[in-house]
Amino acid sequence: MATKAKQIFSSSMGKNNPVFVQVLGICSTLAVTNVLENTVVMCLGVIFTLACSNTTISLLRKWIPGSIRMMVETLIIAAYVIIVDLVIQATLPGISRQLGPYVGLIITNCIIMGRAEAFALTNPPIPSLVDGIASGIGYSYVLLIIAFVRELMGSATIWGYTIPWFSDWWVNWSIMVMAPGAFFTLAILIWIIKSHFVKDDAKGAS
Amino acid sequence: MSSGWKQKRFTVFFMFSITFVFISIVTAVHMATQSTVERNKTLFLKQAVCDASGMPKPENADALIAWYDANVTAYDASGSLLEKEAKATDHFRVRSADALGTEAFVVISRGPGLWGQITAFVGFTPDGTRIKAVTFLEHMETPGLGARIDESWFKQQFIGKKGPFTALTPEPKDKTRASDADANTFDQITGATITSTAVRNIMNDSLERAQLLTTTPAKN
Repeated sequence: MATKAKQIFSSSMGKNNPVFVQVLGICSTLAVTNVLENTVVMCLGVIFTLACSNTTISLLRKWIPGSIRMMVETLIIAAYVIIVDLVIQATLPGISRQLGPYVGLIITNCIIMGRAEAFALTNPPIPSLVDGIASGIGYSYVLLIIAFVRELMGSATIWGYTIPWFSDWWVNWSIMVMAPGAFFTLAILIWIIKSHFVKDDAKGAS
Repeated sequence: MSSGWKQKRFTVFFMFSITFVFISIVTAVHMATQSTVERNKTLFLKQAVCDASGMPKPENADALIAWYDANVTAYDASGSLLEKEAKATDHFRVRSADALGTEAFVVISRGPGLWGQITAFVGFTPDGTRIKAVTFLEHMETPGLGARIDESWFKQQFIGKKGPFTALTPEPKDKTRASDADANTFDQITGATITSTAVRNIMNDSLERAQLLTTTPAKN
């Protein structure tokens, strides 16, 4: 059990990472990564939704009729996302205002539907929970790296705080806080990770 | 009864049941958080009135509510007193510390930004000529670009000025330019020209309305 959990975990961190290998969840990767604080809240929301929806779908997998499985999955995911949205509105009103519609858009995050279809429907609840958390963390760390680079270069701040010495001379790159900045950062990150850290098994086969 | 019919019946029953269960859960969470969410919205509005009138920030939420209830009255566009702030609210009058005169007028001014409506609370001196402070209650501008209208350096540019305003391209070497109270200019945000233009229009609209307010006495 522990070995399987470890395997699921390392797979989501590396060779099966939802963002840089499966290239899923790109909309939110581009949308919320210009400020680190918003990214962290978004990541926590996605991890919670992934963990809960994977576990629920796995618990119900023997009863969900095949013909309506996607409707059921969407319903479950949407319910958890609305709960996340309501809780953020009640507890973190400032961040809720900044994130605006993006929290609601977690429903359309392909990673959540993808994990429900590919893993939770065919696996028991505990591995599904582990898979949900692992995929969420796999998604989150890539987003956090991108957000760090974008906020640093685009606004010369980290978590809204100016950095001594660096902020004095750095000229902000406006493009880094706009969508193209996210495209460039993500593409360069995928290139670095794929060429140095995660070797493609299929390389040379074609 | 055929097994196909049974299967269909189960499918409908399952979808109905799971929808019922999840809607019940969401409703329960909504009811549990509703009062807090409403309170947060009201607090944002009261804080915006406080900021725009140039008052020092109250220590906590209770102090803010107490200050607001004691000193602020809301009016609609025709100048009629509203019992409490509502959608029809057009402006606020903030009483002075001795409760005899008016400390400030706070005008709600709205206009289209890049992605959605920008709602600004603009505070004026009792004679309606100079701006006391400005704050933006709601906007959907790009974080890191247009959303920088929330930063204090941007909002402080309007304090003490008469308008009507013109937006200038920022010139980092000339720090005195936008801070001159009689210049009636402000540094716009680099990379957010549409937002800056929208803010200029919103501010200029509020100036005209503040002038009208001071010439027409409030109805009670």
